Amino acid sequence: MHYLANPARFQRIMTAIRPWAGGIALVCLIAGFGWGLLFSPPDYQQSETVRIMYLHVPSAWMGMFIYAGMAVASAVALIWRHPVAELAAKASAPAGAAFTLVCLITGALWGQPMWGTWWVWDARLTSMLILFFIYLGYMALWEAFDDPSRAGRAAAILALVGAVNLPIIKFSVDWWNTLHQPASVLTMEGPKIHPDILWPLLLVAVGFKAYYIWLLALRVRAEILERQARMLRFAAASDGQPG
Amino acid sequence: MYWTSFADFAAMGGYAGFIWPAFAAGLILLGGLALSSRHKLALAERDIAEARREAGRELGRDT
Amino acid sequence: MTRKRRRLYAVLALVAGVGVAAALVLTAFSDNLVFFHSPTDVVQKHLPAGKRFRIGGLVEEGSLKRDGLNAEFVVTDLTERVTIRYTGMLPDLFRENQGIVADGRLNEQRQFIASEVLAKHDENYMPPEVAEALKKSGQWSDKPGQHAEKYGNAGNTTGKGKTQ
Repeated sequence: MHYLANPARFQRIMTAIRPWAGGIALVCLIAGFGWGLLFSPPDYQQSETVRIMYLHVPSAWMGMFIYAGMAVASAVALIWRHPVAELAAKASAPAGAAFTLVCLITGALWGQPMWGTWWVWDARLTSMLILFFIYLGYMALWEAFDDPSRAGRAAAILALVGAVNLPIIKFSVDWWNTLHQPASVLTMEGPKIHPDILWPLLLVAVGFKAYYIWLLALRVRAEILERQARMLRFAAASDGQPG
Repeated sequence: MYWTSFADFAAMGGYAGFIWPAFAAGLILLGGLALSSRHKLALAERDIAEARREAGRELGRDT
Repeated sequence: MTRKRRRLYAVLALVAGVGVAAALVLTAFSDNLVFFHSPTDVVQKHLPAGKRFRIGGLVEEGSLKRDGLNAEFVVTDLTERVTIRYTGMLPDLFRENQGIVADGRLNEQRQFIASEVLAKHDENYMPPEVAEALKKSGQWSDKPGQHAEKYGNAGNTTGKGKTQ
């Protein structure tokens, strides 16, 4: 972890990974969606609408996975003051928010024909919507302060507090009666999904992970450059002042 | 191939009105984020180059 | 104590504090977080007629009677049964032996008059041919008994022991 704390080294590694992540993302997503839309069979109950799952389930995983990563990075930033950790968390938030929104939209589009409603306020749907709002709040907090170090600390604390929502999302379907079905893939007894439907789902999941790594490499680099430009200008302005 | 014709594929067993908007939403949001992130990086690269030039000028004026 | 260590403890305390607070709040409001009541709840807790709530359970096999848009069926959690009457379009996933959640009120005859019926999907996904093959070979696991526990009272202490 301390090895990655050096921004220059972190940059070099991320730049080396980026084309690979981008390539893997493209291949897996084209293969996964191609398989899911063209070749995989319909479900015995949901018929063709099961294809929405290929987007909905991996998006939900990503929304939660990215938040978990942000919470860990925020803790590292708060405790050890690693600037890269703070910027990685900041750069992750838009991706997490986008995946969570995709999950909510695709879920509504599945819920209308299958359940008979776009939305219900059950524990799973509500906790997922709260996750989306936490992402928005996190991003807004970064913008709310002029001083990036204070903004970073406030946002990191919010990210840690919001992490309590993650186990609530995951176990909401077990703890309370919900309209949402229980877990199908990550269960104690193993997946309850037929392999013909599971494989495209897992391909998309891998593709989304790679997409996220690609995006993170891109956005962290942009954040570091922005910070360097600000420091350069600050240094130039204070040097230029008559002492 | 699961489908017998393109029309069959497009109709999605009668659920086209739900399935295609779902995929469109995913493509727009995630594709849009990818494009806007690339744009953000391009702006940052240009900005740092400019800041370095400015800093160089400052240095030149001081000496 | 170094500053790093102090910050580490502060972060751990923050996470632990928020976790405990959330656990307490969720336990306190557990009854309100339940999206629907099971037929057992409805019968044994004597929920009053006229009060609006949701009921969830399996549609009992052979209980569905349809007359145009009017439908009457029985939901069960294999312990208790409640008759539901509903006028309107039933969702695509509505089937006998499948879960549903209905929103409405009990009338004086203890029948549930639903204003909305939602289908509840289970967590199994498979192609139709596989489902057919499973049914033929007798390995079909979709028997109501396997599902009924989900309509017991998850997170509800009064009902927890009943499914055993």
